[in-house]
Amino acid sequence: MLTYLPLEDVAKLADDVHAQAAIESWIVDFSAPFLNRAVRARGVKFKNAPVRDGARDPGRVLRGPRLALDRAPPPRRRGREDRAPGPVADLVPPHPGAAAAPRARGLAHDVRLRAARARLKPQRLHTFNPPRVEDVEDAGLQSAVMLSQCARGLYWLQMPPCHA
Amino acid sequence: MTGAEQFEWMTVVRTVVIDRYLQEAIARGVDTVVNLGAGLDTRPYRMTLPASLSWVEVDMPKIVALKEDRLAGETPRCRLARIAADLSVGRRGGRRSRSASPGRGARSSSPRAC
Repeated sequence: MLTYLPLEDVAKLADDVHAQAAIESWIVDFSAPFLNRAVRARGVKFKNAPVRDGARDPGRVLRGPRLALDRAPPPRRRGREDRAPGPVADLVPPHPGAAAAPRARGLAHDVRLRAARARLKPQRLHTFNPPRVEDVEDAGLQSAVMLSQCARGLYWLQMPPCHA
Repeated sequence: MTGAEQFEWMTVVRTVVIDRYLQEAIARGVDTVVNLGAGLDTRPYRMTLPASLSWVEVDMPKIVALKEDRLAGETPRCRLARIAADLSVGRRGGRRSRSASPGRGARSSSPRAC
């Protein structure tokens, strides 16, 4: 849904879900902007579900509507992808060039979203232990984990196996 | 490996990893799963789940109808409910329109949801 909905809608949805105290954990499944662009470039179209660039840092949806304030950046040159959030963040050191790029914050273009952010109450967040390649005992699955991350366009420069 | 093959692997790994996340959450005590934008996901049917678990799927009405039709002969392994709703702000007029399809089993408002 992060791919299909406008960020404003994702932010509102996150706001609604965060208002439910019973929800203690989120599993957010997202694809990198790199992958979304690749899908669009191939002419793949889904009826009623256009593939969008998505959030610059989809993991921030865990922290509520601030996601919408961190808009997706324009396409970058190869090797300039940001370090990924979430489960794959600890797998590989960030690219030296990408690590130095500050994340633009506070890009509040939408007054309504500012208001939504102000209403956000602190919420206890639980995050799952991120899977690490070295923690996966099965060799085949280990390769698949790495390949998956490559396919998502997150660490493709640092992980030679995906180009082998 | 071609891009298509990479995409296939990505899908497989994504499925396995999310399955494990869910199993971990359920083992920790979560008793309700809400799947927003569930699509044609069939985890309530194929995963080993406690019968007492409540699983709520939300997606567009056409998807829900298609899923109900295709899975009419199958039995989920937990309490399953489907809600037809458009979660986009523009189409829901402030509040999302929705209609519930109870599937099999009851829906519950649980203190621990995922």
